[in-house]
Amino acid sequence: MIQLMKRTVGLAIVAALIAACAEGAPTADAPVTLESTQSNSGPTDPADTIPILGPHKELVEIDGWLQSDVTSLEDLEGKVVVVWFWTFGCYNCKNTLPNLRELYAKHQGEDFEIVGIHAPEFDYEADIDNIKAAAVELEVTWPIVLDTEKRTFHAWQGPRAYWPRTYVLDRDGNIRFDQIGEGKYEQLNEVVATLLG
Amino acid sequence: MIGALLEGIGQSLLPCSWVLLLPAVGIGVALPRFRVMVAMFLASVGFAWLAASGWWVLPLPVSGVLLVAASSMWWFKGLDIWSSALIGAGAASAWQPCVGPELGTVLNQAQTDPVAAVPGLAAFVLGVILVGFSIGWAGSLFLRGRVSNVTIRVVTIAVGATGISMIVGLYPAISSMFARWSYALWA
Repeated sequence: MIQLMKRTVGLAIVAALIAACAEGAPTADAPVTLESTQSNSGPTDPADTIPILGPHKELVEIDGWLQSDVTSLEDLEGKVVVVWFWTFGCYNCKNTLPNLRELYAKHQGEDFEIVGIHAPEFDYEADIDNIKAAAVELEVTWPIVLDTEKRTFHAWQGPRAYWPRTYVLDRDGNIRFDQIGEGKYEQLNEVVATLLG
Repeated sequence: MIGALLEGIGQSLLPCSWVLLLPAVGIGVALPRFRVMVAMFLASVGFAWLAASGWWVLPLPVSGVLLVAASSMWWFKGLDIWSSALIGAGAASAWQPCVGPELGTVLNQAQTDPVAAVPGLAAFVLGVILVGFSIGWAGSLFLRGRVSNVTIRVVTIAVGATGISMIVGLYPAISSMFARWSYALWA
């Protein structure tokens, strides 16, 4: 029992040391806000103040689309597009849904679309009937890309890829926002609104 | 980073954390020395960090080889810092996390400043494996500290079997089966 207590205390010390180190760690993750990137050289298009992170990747050997007449991202050129990598069993993906639903409703009728690229983590998440049922249950009403073999998932994110991951593409197909995981909802909404003008 | 630690604890029971959690449970059951647990923790953080920074992502079969090697060492020589570190390395390499807000901040940071992401990632991983160790300890306490050699052998085999399933490509189906049970349970 004493040994056990020693180990517990030891691990608590490790945790405390990490926390202490972290207090002094640099915070390089400061979000790129619109205000922080605006210049003082006169009025500019607010969209120009959002950094371009590169062109979007292609959809790679997908298994089709759900809830859409669209067959490729090129069909959406001219629109601002949120590309959202998810899988329906992912707890953290579900946590991002309220903001996405709100965003989708807010910009209905504008040149805006959300594309949910469904990349299953587990086998049962690859079943199309399960995906359809989950879309209804989770109120995912936007187009869904079926990326069963996760080829698009890895083509966009590399060998270590994450759920959820959210990109925003501008009207020319350039990536203007990239977020791994939950969070930064205000920045996402702001980027979409700015790009829509 | 307290937030990352707490998020690691909170997310430890989700299926996407099990590949880190369960080996920690196995090690915890063995009631090893403190340095053995630290070895697993450090190796886990190191390999998770290499992957998060995009520098080195081990293919799943290689992670499996690490786990099989660790299992063999544990079987024949007992659990020491080297076998524990191999388990941490194999598990962390195979780990494909679901990402909450705290880990999200850390992983976004890792894209541009990998070194600055180390404390946050370490805190998150610590949260997950701390839960695993605790479950293992609790199991041992439940058995009143009398964890038999048979129990340890079973844990060792489970680690090796997980590794073999990664090598032969059965791991996704097996983890999917467990995740489905979990999903049905929680849903």
